[in-house]
Amino acid sequence: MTVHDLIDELYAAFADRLGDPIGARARDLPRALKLAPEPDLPWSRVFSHEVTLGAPALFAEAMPGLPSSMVREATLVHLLAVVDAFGTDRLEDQQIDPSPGVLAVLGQLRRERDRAMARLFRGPPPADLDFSAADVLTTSAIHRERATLLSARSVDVTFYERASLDKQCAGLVASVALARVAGWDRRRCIAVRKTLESVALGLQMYDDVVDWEDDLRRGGSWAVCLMMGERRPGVAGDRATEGASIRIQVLHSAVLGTMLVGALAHMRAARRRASALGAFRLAAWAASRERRLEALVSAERRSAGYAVRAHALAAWAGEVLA
Amino acid sequence: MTLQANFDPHAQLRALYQALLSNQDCFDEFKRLLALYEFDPEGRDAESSEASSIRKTLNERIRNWVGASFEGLSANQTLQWRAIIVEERFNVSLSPWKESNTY
Repeated sequence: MTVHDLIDELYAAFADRLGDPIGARARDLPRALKLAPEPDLPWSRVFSHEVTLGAPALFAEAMPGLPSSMVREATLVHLLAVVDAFGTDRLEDQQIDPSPGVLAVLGQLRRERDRAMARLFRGPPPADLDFSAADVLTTSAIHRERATLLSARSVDVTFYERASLDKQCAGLVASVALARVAGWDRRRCIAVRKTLESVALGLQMYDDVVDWEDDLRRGGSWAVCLMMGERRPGVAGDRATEGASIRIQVLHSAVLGTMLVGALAHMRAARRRASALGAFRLAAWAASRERRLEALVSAERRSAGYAVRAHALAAWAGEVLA
Repeated sequence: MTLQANFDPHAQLRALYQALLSNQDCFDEFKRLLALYEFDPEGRDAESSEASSIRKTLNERIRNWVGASFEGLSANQTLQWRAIIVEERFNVSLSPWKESNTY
């Protein structure tokens, strides 16, 4: 069974246990969150990277002898935690309406997530793996991000990466929990967390590059905030202007290339740590992302905006030029 | 700017792809002209004179970029390009916090 198959099976079983009508709403959650164009699409069709919803299953490769029931519980925890965090982000950002149906499904997601965590540990999870703290941090990070992007104020890379990791913290818990129940020591559990942090930052930075103009239209873009942060005081003003001018500023600033270099560094770190841990499938995936980012960094240096254009043309190129 | 293109339709499309990838001005102009192109093939048999004129301009611009041998985009091809570039209907891959893919 592939990781994507496992994700779809676990979520389908979760929705079935809820019973209709809320089970039907759970199955249609990707569309309700405006992540899918049609009803009842499985999550594997929404997220293309296995690690996004199936990280614990990928780390399990390095844990031979671990009962498959534990891997399934940890993957369920991770899947539900990430979907809930996604939904919370959509709601807090007012990208979707807080309909009673969506709120009810998200509530069920959190309850089942916590129950699965308790099953994994055969009791209450350790304090550092309790989702209540992660939930608070996620919500506060979403608010902080919104305020920062709307103000278009200057930020440095450290601020940006902290904000990104805080927002994604719920996606780190289940894999570390699986490592803990597998008997891994503190050093290896930290390595699991750091591997996932690198994956999260590598993917996020790439997305924030290719979507920077869409993000700006919706209220704010990290590329703009980082560009402002890279400027020396007094040089070319301390606020970006609007429209075509801001695009020229971003392209001329080379901030997109800088962000891609950051994404590449994170994906390289993820590949090395995953390989050292024995999670070779995850390492191979990270290596493929690394190669793609290397090519993009090189092309972006030659022609500013290349990565954005390549993303816009990717689907067409895949269909027509393959 | 003129890129090398030959009479092979596939090679011509590849040349157009490379032109759009490598030059922001080409990409912006391509997108702007596609956004102006409005034609509902299910609602009428032929494109309007305005749509035809825009497509003609678009094809002339593409020939400037990839060479005079470029055959030109048909009405259907132009609509397909518009769906991809302007309406962004075909980019559906996501990663954890990709927020742009809303429907």
